[in-house]
Amino acid sequence: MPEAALEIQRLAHTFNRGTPYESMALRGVDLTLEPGAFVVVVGSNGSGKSTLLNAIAGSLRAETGRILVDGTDVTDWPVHRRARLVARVFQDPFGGTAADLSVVENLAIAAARGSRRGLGRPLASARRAELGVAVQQLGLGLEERLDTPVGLLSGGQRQALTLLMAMVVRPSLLLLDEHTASLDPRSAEQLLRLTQGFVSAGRLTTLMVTHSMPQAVRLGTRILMMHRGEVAYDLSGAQKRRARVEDLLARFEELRRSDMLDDSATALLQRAYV
Amino acid sequence: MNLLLGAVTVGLILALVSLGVFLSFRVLRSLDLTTDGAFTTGAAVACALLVANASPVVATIAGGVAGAVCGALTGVIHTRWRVDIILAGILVTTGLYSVDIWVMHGGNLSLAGRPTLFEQAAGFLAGGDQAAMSRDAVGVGLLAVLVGALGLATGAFASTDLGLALRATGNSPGMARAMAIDTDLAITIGLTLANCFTGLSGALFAQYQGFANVQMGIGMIVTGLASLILGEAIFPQRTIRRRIVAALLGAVAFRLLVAAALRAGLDPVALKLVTASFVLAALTLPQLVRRLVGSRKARREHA
Repeated sequence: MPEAALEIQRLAHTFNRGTPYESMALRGVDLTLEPGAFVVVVGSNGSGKSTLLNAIAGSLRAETGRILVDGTDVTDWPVHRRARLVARVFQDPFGGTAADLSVVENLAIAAARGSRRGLGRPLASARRAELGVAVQQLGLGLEERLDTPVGLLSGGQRQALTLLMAMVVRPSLLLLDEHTASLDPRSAEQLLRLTQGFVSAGRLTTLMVTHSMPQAVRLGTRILMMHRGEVAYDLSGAQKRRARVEDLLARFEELRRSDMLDDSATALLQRAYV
Repeated sequence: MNLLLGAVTVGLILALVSLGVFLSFRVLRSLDLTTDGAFTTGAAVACALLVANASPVVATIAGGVAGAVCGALTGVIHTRWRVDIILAGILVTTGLYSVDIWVMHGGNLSLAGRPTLFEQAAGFLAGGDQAAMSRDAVGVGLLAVLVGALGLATGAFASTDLGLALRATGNSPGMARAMAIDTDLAITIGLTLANCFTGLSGALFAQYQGFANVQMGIGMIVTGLASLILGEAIFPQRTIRRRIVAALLGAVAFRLLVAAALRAGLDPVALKLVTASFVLAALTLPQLVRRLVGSRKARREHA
């Protein structure tokens, strides 16, 4: 059996521990992703899906649990070290690129992900041409604007560039953090198509967080529904293929109702005893 | 004529401070107060070595190395021990005050006739007949070549893998880390390089004026900022190479402006106040103007 691309063991994290605002964001999550798996994570606000993603990328250090990428324990690695294995596309189009640097400079930085950065000249004409060819895949005409500062591009263009930058060096794991959420519908659709194309062409192991049920149904090989810091539902194989938007919404409703039940039960108990 | 030549010479020397401030303030977006300390320490080390009969070339390079060490120290204090960059710079500069006095065996160190880089160059060019060459003319030529070469090298560095990593670190630290750039290391390297230029500038300045003084670096960061901002105002540029040239020329323009103001009767004591006011105005006026214009436009649209 091939090594898991991502293995998460008993991952738990509590924010503001010991204060009145204490909240358990992750309650012992176990998760294994086979190489090439495309997993879509859905869940309401505060379900822990963003915390999970931050913990994998390393921007949040989970209190307990281990994280292994390609069999390597990366739990104690800082963000920049994990980034050799894990590529990430943020929700904010401004966060994934350097605005003052040109398109080709941003790409050159991405092309050096995981290698030592010395006094090599990544913008010399031969390598510049390679990067120009790479950016053609986006179909946005950016190959004609290699020297344009990224800050002058639209949000959709920047986000497409960020996606490409995550792929230029093949990542062991690709994290997509609601990466279409801040785009207009047309750009979002375009980016989603690009994502699908890149992921299937590169057989990339992918973990995508989204708020959009249609996206969850359309994309990927597996759906995780998170709720209160746990994986509430895990649909894969035929179950995932059969899943429709209504099914997911029904499951959401179910979780919500059980929450309300909890709340009203608490209220009842409070009325009776306090 | 001599006044003009002197202003250009000092301008070229201080262009290296401007280059250092460009690296820290513009590229890394950190206000690095080590500048004041590194300038003096570079001067002190160079003078101490010259007095000990070292060759001017060695002494000048040693001044640059001393500055680099100061910058590296600030970088480590800031990135490893998470001390605010401004406080880190102040701490290093304060500590260096004692170091400088130790190095110079006092608050002042005169070169007292020892040959400096400028005299060596003049002697070299004139074949021993120093009187035939104007010391200032040779100085300007030598400095123009040196500063030009360092500017070109910095420009070339900006588009290397490492240079791009430094620029990304300042521009978008989150993106840099996501691209596997160790931003702490990048900041430390950037501050090292910036203060190497500043230390070099101090070493040259001491040789130009014939002595080092423990107070000579006070306010150097403000002078560097003033030069940088003036350069950007006179030669607004977009590409990194041209912005470097603008920073260098800004320092020369600033010294010419200072010379003209002194000539016109400005009290030399007022110089620092005027410089500080200029930097303050340059940093705040654009916002103020935007707000005024904005509110007027809003009022017009309201009416």
